[in-house]
Parts: sequence; structure tokens; C-alpha cells
Amino acid sequence: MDILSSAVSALLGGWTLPAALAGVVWGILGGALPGLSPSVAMALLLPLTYGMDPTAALTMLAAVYVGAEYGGSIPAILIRTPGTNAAAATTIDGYELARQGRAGEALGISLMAGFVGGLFGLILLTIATEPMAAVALAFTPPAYCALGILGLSVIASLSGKSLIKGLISGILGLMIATVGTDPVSGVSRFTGGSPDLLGGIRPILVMVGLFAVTEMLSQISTPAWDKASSRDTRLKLPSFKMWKRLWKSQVIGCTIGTFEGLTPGGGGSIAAFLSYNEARRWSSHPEEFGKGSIEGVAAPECANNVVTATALIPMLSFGIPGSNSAAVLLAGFLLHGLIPGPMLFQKAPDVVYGLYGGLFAANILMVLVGLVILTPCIWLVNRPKPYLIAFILAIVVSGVYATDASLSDLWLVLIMGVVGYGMRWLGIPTLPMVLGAVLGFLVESNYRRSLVLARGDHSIFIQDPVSLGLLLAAVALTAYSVWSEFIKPARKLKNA
Amino acid sequence: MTLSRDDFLGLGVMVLAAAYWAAAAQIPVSLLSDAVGADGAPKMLAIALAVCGALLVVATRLKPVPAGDGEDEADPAVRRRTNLRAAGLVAGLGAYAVLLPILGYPLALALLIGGVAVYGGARLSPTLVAIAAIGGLAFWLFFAKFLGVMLPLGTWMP
Repeated sequence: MDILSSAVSALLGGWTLPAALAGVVWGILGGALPGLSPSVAMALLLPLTYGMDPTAALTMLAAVYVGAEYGGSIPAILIRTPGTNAAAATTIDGYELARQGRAGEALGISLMAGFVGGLFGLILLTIATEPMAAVALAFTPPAYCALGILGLSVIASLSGKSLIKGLISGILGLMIATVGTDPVSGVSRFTGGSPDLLGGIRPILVMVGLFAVTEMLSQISTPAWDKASSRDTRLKLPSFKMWKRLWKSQVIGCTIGTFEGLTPGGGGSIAAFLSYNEARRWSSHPEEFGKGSIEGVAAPECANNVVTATALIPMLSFGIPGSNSAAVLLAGFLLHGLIPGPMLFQKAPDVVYGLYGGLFAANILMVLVGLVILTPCIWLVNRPKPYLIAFILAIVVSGVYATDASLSDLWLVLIMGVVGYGMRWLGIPTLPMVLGAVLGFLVESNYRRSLVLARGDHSIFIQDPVSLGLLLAAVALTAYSVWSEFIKPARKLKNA
Repeated sequence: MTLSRDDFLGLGVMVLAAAYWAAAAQIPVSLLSDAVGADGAPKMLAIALAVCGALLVVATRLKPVPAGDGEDEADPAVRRRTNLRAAGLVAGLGAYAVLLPILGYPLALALLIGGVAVYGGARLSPTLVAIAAIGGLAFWLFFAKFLGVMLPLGTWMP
């Protein structure tokens, strides 16, 4: 009851509600700009929060996180450019739906699935922080390594028609992740002496190149599309009938998002890809996945938005920032003299519960802002193709350059665009490469840390129960994917 | 025996794996190094990549692997023209990256918007020039003034 009354009074009494609105609008904008990550969007606002009331300040930062994680799906669906790492999985079916003239439907599903995921995560955050925080502490380096491997096990089902080509793509992605400073010894690897590469290649640059630039290279020489009808340019929220079809993918998204959010470092990307994979496996229409499945949009978006709330559980309970965004939020707490950890709930319950209220408002505001801006967004992408390509590229080059003011990033994105174009021509799927680039560092650094802890003994990976469970899940997932994607259809073909 | 595109791909992947291994072997050994070493994971990846390349060649020999998206089934002349168009856009983007510090962000971006639109099929007209100029200015105002990003104004500006 204390929680509810504190949350309501925070919402009604002060600047929390306007702060949440400003945060959501800024977050959606930041998330929608390729290259500008949620954490950067939050960090840009951090100095502004200094003089604000702590509840309003922290609500604004958390609302940016909520808005940005959602905002990443808008360009993912409309222009095949994930605004954030976690939106990469949404690109697969979201963009296919947009190509079929169903952009409004895809955006409506992503908005409402994100809302459901956000609320679900918030409920967990409010009522189950204490018991669920224990999960975060159970994660040791071997478990993190196993978690990364579980994420990589999705490669088999993202491989399209050729498993070997999918594996090649995944390995190339892992190779990209090895560029930069070695996580254990600190020596530089594959940097060619360039200081710009010492920090590694950010996965978002790989994605922007592989998705956006590659798509524009393909589009530039194909005929202009037909003018969209007015029906195609309107946002379409899911109907009751559609909800009935989406419930399973939402449950999958909520479950996986909860688990991934609790594990610091897990993050929305793994949650989104695993949810997509599981939604496909449990769907009554698995054949639609990759060709414009509504469940393929709902599952990753739901998971992605659950993570925005559940990722706060280890941060608030132990002061462990599990992601860059959580680290910026942690900085916001410290800026106001609040130290996250078990004592936070005793020392400043009004701030914590006010933050919960602010997050609730942020999720509702996300839907309202989405309702206002999405139809104009769809209208924008239906402008004459030459102008659209020109402005998409302008957004891409500006967003990429703006993050670090680095020309190297621009060149890198251009190179990845050419690589993506070549991969398309050769029939190599690009998604496994993205997955490899996202998860490579997590897997390698924790693999080696584990071996340092165990003095080189690999049995640490099976002695740790969490690690063992995750590795078994990875093996089962890979075996099932290989069987259902390749062996089963081959047998069917043989028997026919 | 004629070699298919997947044969070339498999062989190319093996060459890439060898080059990556050679580069990994050049990584200096640190006193802080662990048992795996900074070159451990890259070498493992090189082996895995080489194995995949070999498997692709073998699989192609045994049974032709179906191509990716069917785009390759296009007429070679059309395909060549498409690739040349894409190469032209790459050149345009490369020119933008080269000219950005010299011309400055607003002008370089306006040229990029206008150039790509014309390349994409838009007619060169005063409207297009105006759209490109307004686009360059609007993006500069947003990123430089609103977000506070340091953007180059060009060597020609006083």
C-alpha cells in the first residue's frame, strides 16, 4: 500500500509526470536515431537532471530508457535500420511486414507488445525485487559465458537455407568482436595500429551497416515502389482477434525478458533473439517467420521492453548496473546522493516508489506518444524513393558520426554496408553475424575469466549449476533447431 | 569441372581463415596473459571458419546448395548494372566521408542529400536544391545546436 500511495503522490504532486513525458519523447527520438544508443540518449540528459527533484530526475532518465528501447523498433520496421541493438530481431519480420504495405500493423503490434512487456516488467519490479534479485547474484563468469553461448545457439534457426553459411556468418561476427583491446591481457588485437579501434567495433555500427546501408545499396537500383494507399499509411493497433494470436509470443517474450533482464550483461539483444526463436518454435504459423510474421514482431518487442524494467532489479538491489543504460541511471542516483543497494529501500523509499510510478506513467505515455507520431512516420517513409533514400542515408551518416564525432565509424559503417551487400549476393544470412558481433565479447571475456578462476580447468563450466543448465539448454536448442530446420524437411522431401 | 559460386565462397572463406590465423599469430604475448592468451579465441575462430569453408565446398560438390534470396537468378547484365549502381552509391558515401572535414557538415550533407536523390532518379530542379539545402541546415541545427554535437564546419569557414 505504501508503494502505491508513494507512487501516486509522486505522480500527482511534482514534476514526475512532465519529466516522464519529456524522457519518453527524448528516448523515442534517441532510440530511433541509428547510432545513438539508449545510454547515450540518457547520458545527454544527465547534466540537466542535476538541479531537479530526485524522483523527477530519475524518472526522466528511466523514461528515456523505456522510450529509447521502444523507439529503436520504429526505424527497424520502417527502414530496416535497428535504432538499438535490441531492435535487430524486430527488423526480420517488421521490415517484411512494412514491405507488404503493413507497416501500420507492424508498428501497432510493436507499440502494444512493448507496452505489455513494459507493464509486466514493472509489476515484477514492484512486487518481486527482493526474491528475483538473488538470480543476479547467481551469475558467475561461467554462467555469463554459457548465457552468451545460449544466445549464439539461435544461429541455427537464423541461418535460412544453408546452415554452413549461417555458421560462417556467425563466426565472422565473432571475429568482429575480437577487434580491440584483449579483455584479459590488455594487448590490442586486429586494430592495425588505429587508436579508434582500441575500444572494439560497436555492434550498432555493424547493424547499421549491414541493415541500413546494405538495404539502400539494394534499393538504389530497383524501380520505385507504388504509391502507398491511405490505408497503408495509418497506424493500426492489434484487434482482439490478433491479440488472441499474439498471446503465446507475448508470454514467451515476458518470460525470456524477465530472465535476461535479471542477469546483468544479458541485455535486450539476447532476450529479443531468443524470444524470436522460441516464438517461431511455438507458433502455429512458423512458416510465416522471416516473411512477415506478426508474432515475429511481438515476441522480441515484448521481451525487449520487459528488460527495461527487470534490468533495474539488480541495479536497485545491489547497485550492479547490468547495462550501459543502467550505469547511466546509477550515475543519476549517485548524482543525487543516493546509493543503490539494500539500504536504498530503507533510506529513500519515496524516491524508489516514485520511480516505479514514473515508470508506469512512462509506459502509458509511450503508447500515447506512439499514437501521435507513428502515423506521420509511416507517411514519411512513403515519400518518393529517391528523396527517402537520400534522407535515410543522411540520418545514418549523421547519427553514426554524432556519437563519437569519428570519421572511422563512418568508414566502418560503409564497409559493413558493402560486406552486407556482398553477403546478400552470396546468399549468406546477415543476422548470425550480428548475433556474433553482439555476443562475442561476452562469451570470450567470461570464458577466459572462468578459466583464470579455475586455473585452466574446464570443468568449472559444468560444476556451476547455472552454467550447466544454460549449456544444456543451448545444446537442446541447437539440436532442435538443426532437426526442425534441416533434417525434418529433408526427410519429408525424401518421403514425398 | 566447373566451379560454382559457393565453391569460390568456400575457398575464399578458407583463405580468409588462413589470413586471420596469420594475423592472430602476430598478436604480441603479454606478461599478463592467461592460459588461453589473446590469440587463443581468434585462432579457434580461424579453425572453425576454415572447417566451415571446407564443408561448404564439400557440400556444394555433393549437392548444390540453394542460393540465398533468389536475387542471383537475375540476368548477368542486369546484375552487373545493379552492382554498378550500388558501387556508385558507395563512391558517393565515400566522397561524403572525405569531404566532410573539408566542406563542413551542413554543406557536405546537403550535397549528399541532393546527390543521392539525383542518383536515385529525382530530377535536378530548384525544389530539389532547396530540399537538400534545408535538409543540410536542419540536420546541422538539430545535431549541433540541439544535441550539442561538435560537427566540422569546414576548412573554408573563417
